[in-house]
Amino acid sequence: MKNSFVRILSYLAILIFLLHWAVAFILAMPANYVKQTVANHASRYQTMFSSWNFFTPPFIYHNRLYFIVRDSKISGNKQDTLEVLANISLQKQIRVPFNQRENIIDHLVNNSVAGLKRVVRSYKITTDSLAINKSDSLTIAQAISNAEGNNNYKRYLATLTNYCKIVLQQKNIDIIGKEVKIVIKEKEIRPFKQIGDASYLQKEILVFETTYKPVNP
Amino acid sequence: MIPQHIKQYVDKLQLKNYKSFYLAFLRVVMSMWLLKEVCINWTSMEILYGNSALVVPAKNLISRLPGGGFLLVKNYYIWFILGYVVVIFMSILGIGKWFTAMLLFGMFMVLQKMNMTMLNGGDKMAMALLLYLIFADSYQYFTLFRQKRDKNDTHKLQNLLSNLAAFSMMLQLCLAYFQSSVAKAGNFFWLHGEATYYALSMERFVGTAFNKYIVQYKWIDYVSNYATLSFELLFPLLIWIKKLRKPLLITGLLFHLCIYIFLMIYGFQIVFILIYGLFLPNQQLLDFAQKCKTFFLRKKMEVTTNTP
Repeated sequence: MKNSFVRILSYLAILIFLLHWAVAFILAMPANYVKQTVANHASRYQTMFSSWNFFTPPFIYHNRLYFIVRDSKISGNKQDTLEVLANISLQKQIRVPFNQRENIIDHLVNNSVAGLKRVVRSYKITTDSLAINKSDSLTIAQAISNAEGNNNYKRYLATLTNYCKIVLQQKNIDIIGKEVKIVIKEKEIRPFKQIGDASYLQKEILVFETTYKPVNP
Repeated sequence: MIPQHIKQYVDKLQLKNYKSFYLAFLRVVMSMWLLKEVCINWTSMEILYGNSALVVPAKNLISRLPGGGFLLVKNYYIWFILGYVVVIFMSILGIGKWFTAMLLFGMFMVLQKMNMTMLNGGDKMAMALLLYLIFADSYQYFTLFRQKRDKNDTHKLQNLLSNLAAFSMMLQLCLAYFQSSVAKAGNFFWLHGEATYYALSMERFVGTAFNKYIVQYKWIDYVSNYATLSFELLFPLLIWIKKLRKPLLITGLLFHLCIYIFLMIYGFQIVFILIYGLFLPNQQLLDFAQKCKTFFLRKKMEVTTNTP
């Protein structure tokens, strides 16, 4: 290659390098007008290069995922309630450091739970202003009905339903003719100020629940 | 037209590949890390990528490819993984150079997109590193076939791209710490010294039986909280000062080791620590490698002479 051509390519490479890092640093800044304008045009860029918030904000609760299973044909409806996330965490702790399989399940399920909560919460915010004097259950039901068309909502819910099938199989529960209700709650971690208080009661707050739906539609 | 000092700076970047040894080391170790991930995930491949995969993937560029994209990869996932392993080996041996680096980045991206819910900061950082490695000349060491290096103009461009890629990796690490510290500095729990208490108490991240005892001591919570905040805030600023470099890298090593042990976040720490080597001078690393080589050769000689 000729010297002049190499020189042009070199300057071009430096220009791209400077542009890349200018955008990355703007996207890493706290919220401001310039960042917002750039982010509107480069959301994927932000996800890849400038989205680092390790444990910020920290989780101040444990997630709880319940599969409430009942037989659709039998009236009177005896229910089986299965909580799965506490058990996944326990398995992960028992098998440390050779817990990759448990780690995978933990990530797949927990991140789907977090995603589902995020979607429903975004709809809850828009309906909250109209939700004065309504119970939590009612507000959540309203947010869910609004979120049902959302692709991410469908995706996360389908993932949790897939996991429900696996759990039922592991527990030797026949899935034919069964209906499941998915419930997500947040169990409070004892607050920092109450560290020494063993009698402190950790509250569980309902954040998401579906109606009963067939396990195998 | 172009100021003299910019020309001089460009000439300096074209002169030589300043991180030639560590870039080669990084290529090999990153590839080996990817291989290790494949091995430890081997028994979970079906639930990650197969037809009985748990996660319903999001619609994106790959799902719009002919043949259904994800569906195609899902149906033949084992072949895709085997191909991925072959590319990893090619990368370890330095075969195919930039083409292999691009292929590895592409395949890694497909696997990530198939399971976005699996990702953590380490995977994101690994993705960025693989992207920068495409531009880096990491083939001066640890290759199967030694190539003759011409001192022509193309070589100058290679050096420049390689230096920019290495610098980008260093900046990426600084940016990650910086952004994280800025976010922490604006958060109530981090500002009041309570955040590490909550992080260490999370069931999902309880790595040892000691976690629940450690968090009972408020002074440990305060110290670990503000130490984390200070480290992430100061690292991007002070790492460029030569005298402070080694203490900072050792602190970072301990910081990531603690996360590894107490929070059970594994791959993440390895990828971050791997970048640390780029902050050390090439010659120092070459000397260290030479010392290691001499040590092992001497040991080998001793074993050979002692064998009857």
